[in-house]
Amino acid sequence: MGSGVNTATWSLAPVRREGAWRAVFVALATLPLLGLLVFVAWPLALIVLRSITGDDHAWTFARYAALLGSPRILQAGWHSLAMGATVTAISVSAGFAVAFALHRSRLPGKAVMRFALLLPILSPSLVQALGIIFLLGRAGLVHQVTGWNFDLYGFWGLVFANACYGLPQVVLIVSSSLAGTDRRYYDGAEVLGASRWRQFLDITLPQCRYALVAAAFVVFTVTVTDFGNAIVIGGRYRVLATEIYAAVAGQLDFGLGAAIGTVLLLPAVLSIAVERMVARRSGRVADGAMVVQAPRNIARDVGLGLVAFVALAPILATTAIVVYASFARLWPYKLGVTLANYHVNLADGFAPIVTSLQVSLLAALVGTALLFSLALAQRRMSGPLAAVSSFLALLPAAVPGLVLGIGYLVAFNDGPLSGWLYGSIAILVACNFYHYHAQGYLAMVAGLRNVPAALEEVAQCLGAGTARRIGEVVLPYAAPTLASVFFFLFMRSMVTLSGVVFLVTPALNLAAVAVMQLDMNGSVSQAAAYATCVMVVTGLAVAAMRLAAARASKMVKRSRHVA
Amino acid sequence: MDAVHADAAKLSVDSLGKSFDGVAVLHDISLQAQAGEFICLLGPSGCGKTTLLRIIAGLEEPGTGTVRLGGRDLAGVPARERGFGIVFQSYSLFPYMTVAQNVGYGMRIRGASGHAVSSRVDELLGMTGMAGHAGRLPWQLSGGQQQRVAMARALAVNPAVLLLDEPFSALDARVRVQLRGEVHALQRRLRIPTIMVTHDQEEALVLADRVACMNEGRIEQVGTPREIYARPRTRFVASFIGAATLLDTTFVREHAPALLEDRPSGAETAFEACVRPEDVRLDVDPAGDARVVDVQFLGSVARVTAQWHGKSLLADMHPSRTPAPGDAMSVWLDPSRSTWVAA
Ligand SMILES: Nc1ncnc2c1ncn2[C@@H]1O[C@H](COP(=O)(O)OP(=O)(O)OP(=O)(O)O)[C@@H](O)[C@H]1O
Ligand SMILES: [Mg+2]
Repeated sequence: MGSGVNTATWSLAPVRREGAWRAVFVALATLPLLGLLVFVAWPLALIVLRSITGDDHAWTFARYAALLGSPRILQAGWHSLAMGATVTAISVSAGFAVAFALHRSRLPGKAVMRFALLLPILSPSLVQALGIIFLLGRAGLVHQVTGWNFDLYGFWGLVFANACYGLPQVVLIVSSSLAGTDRRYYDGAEVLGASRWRQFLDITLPQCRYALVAAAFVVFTVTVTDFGNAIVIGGRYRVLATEIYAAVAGQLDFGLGAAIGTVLLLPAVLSIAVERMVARRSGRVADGAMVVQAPRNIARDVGLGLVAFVALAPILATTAIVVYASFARLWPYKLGVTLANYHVNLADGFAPIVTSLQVSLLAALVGTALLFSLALAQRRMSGPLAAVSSFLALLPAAVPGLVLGIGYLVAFNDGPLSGWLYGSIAILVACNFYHYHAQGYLAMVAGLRNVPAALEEVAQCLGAGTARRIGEVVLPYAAPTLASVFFFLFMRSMVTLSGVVFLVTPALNLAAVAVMQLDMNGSVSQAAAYATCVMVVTGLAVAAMRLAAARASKMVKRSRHVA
Repeated sequence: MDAVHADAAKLSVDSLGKSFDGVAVLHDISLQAQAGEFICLLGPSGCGKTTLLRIIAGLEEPGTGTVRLGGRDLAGVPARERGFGIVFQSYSLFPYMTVAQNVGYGMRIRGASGHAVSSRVDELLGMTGMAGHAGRLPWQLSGGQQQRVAMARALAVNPAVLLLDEPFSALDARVRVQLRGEVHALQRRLRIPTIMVTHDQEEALVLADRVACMNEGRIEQVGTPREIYARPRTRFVASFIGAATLLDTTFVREHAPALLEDRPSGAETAFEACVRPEDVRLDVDPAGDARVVDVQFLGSVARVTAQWHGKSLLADMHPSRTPAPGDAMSVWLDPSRSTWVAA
């Protein structure tokens, strides 16, 4: 514009617009990157800084020395390691078997299996722990019926609850590499004379090995940094996560919290490194891959069916028993149906569920918009800017929710932003969104790869403006991804506990936290009732949104045909 | 087909049928491959070529019918015991094994000693021109090199039958021509009965001893490339292989009665005359009854499309003597070179 050259031909027009196009991308990138700096980089830097400075702001390793010198912390650290390793071993082996059953067997009832795997993702993170307490605890159904005593609180109870949560994540990660294996690898080996067992060793295992490693790291990290289960069912088996919670929420000792938090960053950082390596090694699923169809094999299916049953039945059972117990008069002694547990002893009653809905919708909406513009801008970035941007976008994956929550406490408790952030809904929205930023970002980037660059160029050559280009070319292709990122952020925000547990205030509580508070007050049945409400609300919201998305995607498909 | 013939056939497929979820995809397929014979399964996408090949390999159960090898019924013999070799269009090589490990895989499974495996691997990599690449991983090879290795792997176990499912179709045109020449020479030398799936008619005509032309789950015609081209038996074969003009009986009776002579007896609509463009003679003739509508330059010939009593007639002419669109032409069809095909 305004170049003063009168001979501007039509061929110059796209070049000029390209300048404007670029400016739009810079604008698109600014807000998401600013958000990452303020809500991820800064709190994280403050935590690390706090861990290596004393209360007098002088550099010191005294906090780490204190950690190493405290038998209590060392024991908790050892417990975390032992528990993390046990949960990882169980989740990875069971998860691999379940994923294998889903993709390489002719087992009936795969829908039930998928449903069971969805439950821990849909329900507040304490449901599995509550469920096993109702089942095997001192006032549990099994004790009531048989008189047997289990020492549930402690190592094994904790392992069980965490394994229930870790299993679906393993299945998810391993499934993607099992699903991406082409049938012809197996056909080729079969024709060359390989037995089924050799095919498993020579094709299936190598295809999955990186996914298994990645899954192990993810589960280990999640387990070691999760403290909801540890509080509810850990009993006297103290782990680092409960120590950090006690230090920060109980004694307001941010220094100690910062030091443990920094230590907990390590496995997470390691797991990111491994995951990225895995992503690079496992390669893409090329076009036209043929789905593997399991040959008929009764023995295999019976075996896998048993394993899948053993692995998934507890998830179904614990969830079902939580729902059941929430309606019981006096669990487990009087099982008559009552709604009494739904009158909860909380000052604000069910308001936290409404708040959770608000927070989750906002986190999903704002988050999807920010991720979309960042991913869009990333397509046009190059050089150091692109590297910085993608580093920032993926950084949250290395930050456990627990650490992020403490970071927010340290960063926003006082300081310039505290006035309008502390105790506001905004900080909860930010915490939930940035906690899951990396996963959402990866999904978004992958989804935008489906937008054909050629189509975008054609639209550009036809002289389409920027807004039109995004609206008419990019959006139709990105719509399914936008929807799935939205669901992901919404569901995670509804049920996640870590992070936000440090940020809620008596005046502004969240549903997942309320479940934990009720349990800690000893109102276990009310906790069950509350958890049931959350599951129903989340389930309904997700079902409604899926319906809407299905309708939208049908429309998009139609418009794509026209395009 | 008599019993003696069946035994002589190395590989024999008899009245094979197959359906998926109630949808029939193969109907009554019969096919014999003699020792050392190269057969191409040619047909449009989705006609069941891959399914037929997979049934022969034992990777898919036949619905009805039998597959025999040297007279022995293969029903119930799993793929891994048939001792065949197979090469796919892609995804042939195990991605986590080196070239040498891939080629030696079948032998290792059969328990061959390390020394025997490595000398056989060297031999085959030499034979397929891949000698320098033994330590590479598949993704470090070009598409053509991957297919060479896949071929070496299939041949390493001295397969009784070689099955190829569009082995060249993911390659660019030049590599494809080169590789098919090499495969042809290799197959001639080793004399392994080979069945290759392709939808590239040129590939089929160049490579095959016999072509089996498939359409919608049926084999419409089996014959040498010459037979298939010069004497197609059905309308589908005539139009799928090479260019042809098809003329219905009524039209022929009116405008080219000379062709009627060798028409098989049958209903008016049962047969159509098939004339290849190179067998049509067009002469510039102001009184002619055909009119040129289009001239395509194809290099060695020019393909003329002429409007002839409402039909589009294709004719090849020498490129130096092509008419211009709009020119009037007289038509002469050689009765000895036209065929009647089932409509
Ligand atoms: N496992 C299967 N389940 C259901 N239908 C199948 C299966 N395999 C093939 N089909 C169907 O059988 C028909 C024949 O498929 P096939 O792959 O044999 O075709 P093709 O001739 O090899 O085609 P192409 O040239 O595209 O490879 C198709 O309609 C296909 O959809
Ligand atoms: Mg095919």
